[in-house]
Amino acid sequence: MTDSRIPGFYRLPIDRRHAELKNRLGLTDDELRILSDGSSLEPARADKMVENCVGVFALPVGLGLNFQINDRDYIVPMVVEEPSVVAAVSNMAKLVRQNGGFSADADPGIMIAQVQVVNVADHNQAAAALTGAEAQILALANSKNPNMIARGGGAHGIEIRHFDEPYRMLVLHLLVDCVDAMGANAVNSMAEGIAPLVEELTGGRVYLRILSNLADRRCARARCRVHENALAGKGFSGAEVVEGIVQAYKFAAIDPYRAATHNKGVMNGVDAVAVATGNDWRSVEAGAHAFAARGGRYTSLTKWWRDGDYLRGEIELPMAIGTVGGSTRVHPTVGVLRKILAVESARELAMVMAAVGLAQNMGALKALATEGIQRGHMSLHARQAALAAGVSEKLIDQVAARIIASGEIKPAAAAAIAAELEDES
Amino acid sequence: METQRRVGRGAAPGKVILFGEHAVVYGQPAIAAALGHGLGATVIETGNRPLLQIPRWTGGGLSVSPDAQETAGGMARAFAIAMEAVDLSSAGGFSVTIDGELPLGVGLGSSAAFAVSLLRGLADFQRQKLAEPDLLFHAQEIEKLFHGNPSGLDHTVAATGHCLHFLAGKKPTFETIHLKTTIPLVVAWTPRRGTTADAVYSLRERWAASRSHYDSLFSQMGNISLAGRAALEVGDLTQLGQLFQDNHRCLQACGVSDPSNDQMVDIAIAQGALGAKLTGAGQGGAVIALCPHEPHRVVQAMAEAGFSALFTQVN
Repeated sequence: MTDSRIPGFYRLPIDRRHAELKNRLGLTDDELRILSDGSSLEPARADKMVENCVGVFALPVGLGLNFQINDRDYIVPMVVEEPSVVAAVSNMAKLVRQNGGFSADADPGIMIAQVQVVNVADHNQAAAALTGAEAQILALANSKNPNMIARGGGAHGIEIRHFDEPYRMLVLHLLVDCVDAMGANAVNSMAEGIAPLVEELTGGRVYLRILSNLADRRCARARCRVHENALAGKGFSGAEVVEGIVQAYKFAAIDPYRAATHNKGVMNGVDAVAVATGNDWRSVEAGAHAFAARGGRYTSLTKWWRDGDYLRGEIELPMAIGTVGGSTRVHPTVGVLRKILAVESARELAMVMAAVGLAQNMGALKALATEGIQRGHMSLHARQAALAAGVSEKLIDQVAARIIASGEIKPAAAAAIAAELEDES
Repeated sequence: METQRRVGRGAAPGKVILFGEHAVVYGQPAIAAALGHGLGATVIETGNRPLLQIPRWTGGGLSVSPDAQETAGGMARAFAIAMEAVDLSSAGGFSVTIDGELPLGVGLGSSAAFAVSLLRGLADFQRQKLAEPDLLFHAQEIEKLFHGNPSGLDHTVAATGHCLHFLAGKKPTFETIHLKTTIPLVVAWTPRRGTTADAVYSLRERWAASRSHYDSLFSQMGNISLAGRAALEVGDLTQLGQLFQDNHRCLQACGVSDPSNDQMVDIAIAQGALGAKLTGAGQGGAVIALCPHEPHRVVQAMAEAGFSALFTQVN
């Protein structure tokens, strides 16, 4: 089994890192060449992917190390241009593995196809007609993609939603288990395929027939816990760090302005894995943010709390990703990175991505929390220095701010600045 | 499903002969593929007697119970065979609904897709997995009800979903062909004059009267099948289109293409298809057109000329 710990990896030059990949994971020279060669996506192939193609664009690939999820190790490829993302996630994964690793689970690969029906005279009657014909709707949907049934998936349920004036319409949801595919094409063609039958049953007119990116039947969840002692450092006690992280979580939980930034940090990791595995990261992004707003107010995708001596965290978010079909096959680098990650199914990949999102969030909150505490400590310290220098009450805040800015938090400096200020007044 | 009702799901693709129809009867290879479309089956727990419903077929829809074998004939017998295959008793408690846009009786493997989707749906309802040999065996039993002595091609394509190199005979052989790329096809059809057996029989009479002429046509078609297989394996659509054209001309020379087949082929080419040919027995029935660009123009032109058509990807 893969060991996701590669001590000192970050200190090695790239060719020595390649040697590690060759030894540990059996990557071939050809595969390593694909990794080195940022333009391994040939222009001819790229030209078939987008219109007006004039070239290809390369990004760095880093490896998120130390991940242990459900007692299995994963080396996680991440494609991202932002510094510190890979280092932070690897550090947090190390802390978590020392505390038992991540546990994670994921729903079956159920995507939602939406069929919009307007001009329906009687919604209740139309809904009854659709419900009554559910077996036929499902059979027709499955006739459009027999392969999916053969792989153990397929359309398996419908739901009906009503919207009132001013935009009165009826929306049929077709729930489709896409198994290991992201499933956008299959789901869209099923929705198109059932549209005439839906019109016939409802007497209405169908407009849109397309998947929803709010894939809330296809969520992934990850959990972790870390003993507070493991979080101590940079002059802060573990208890202080736990408190800082919990306060940061509470902020994101109640305030959408903070939650947007908080969740952006989660997606730093999630998107990097989505790109590395050839998945549509815009779709994952859209799903995550819509899910974060599902209660009517945008909030945090993660949750952090103290449990005895431990910090506990969890994440839940939709994960509309695949390990077969679509773009996962097109890009040569994706093939190599998939070999490094070594997941067997889309559900397994979804679990890894949830754990990465949770670890990335933990890294960001830990940094913010300790930085926050540091600033707090400094101002307290500066006030004490000013007090010791005998600075008058009305000048204390000003003097404290000035000595923090000067970087010399000492009574002598406070006294000098206080004297200056008194001269000016 | 919202409720706790037990549900089973099945589906199977339709079939299309890409190369070698008719010639296959005379020992030449044929190439057949699974369509991207087919039939789907939904099995739902009801508490009533078993019921099979096919709302789209036979006018107002077909509804049979396995007990009604006297009156409903083959379909009821097929239902009974499929139930037996997965140990479902006639005590029942479920209904099966089958639907899909695969047309009946134009050589697109609708009866085989019916058999396989029904078997898969019932097996799923029983939380069983039918192994491929079992699936093939029972599907063949059902095919025999509809076709007497079927070649085995249709239900093999329906059950495997593969593109197959096929040789007929006492022991037919099937070899899976791995497609390099998906094949975008428009399938167009019109009702057939007579049955497959009629078409095969009248060609046999012509062959008996002029063997060397027809044998040469059949061997040409066999060569086209082999070249077609090669084109599929390397994903050369231009070559594939040309071979469709060549194969169609041979079928015309055999006298199995009728004016409606030729008209559909002409429409497809006029609308930009890379090639088109009749598929199956001919004398009406279906035509396939290779349409990597703007397939919907071909579908629309077929509809305007009074033919049915759908676009599908073979993969």
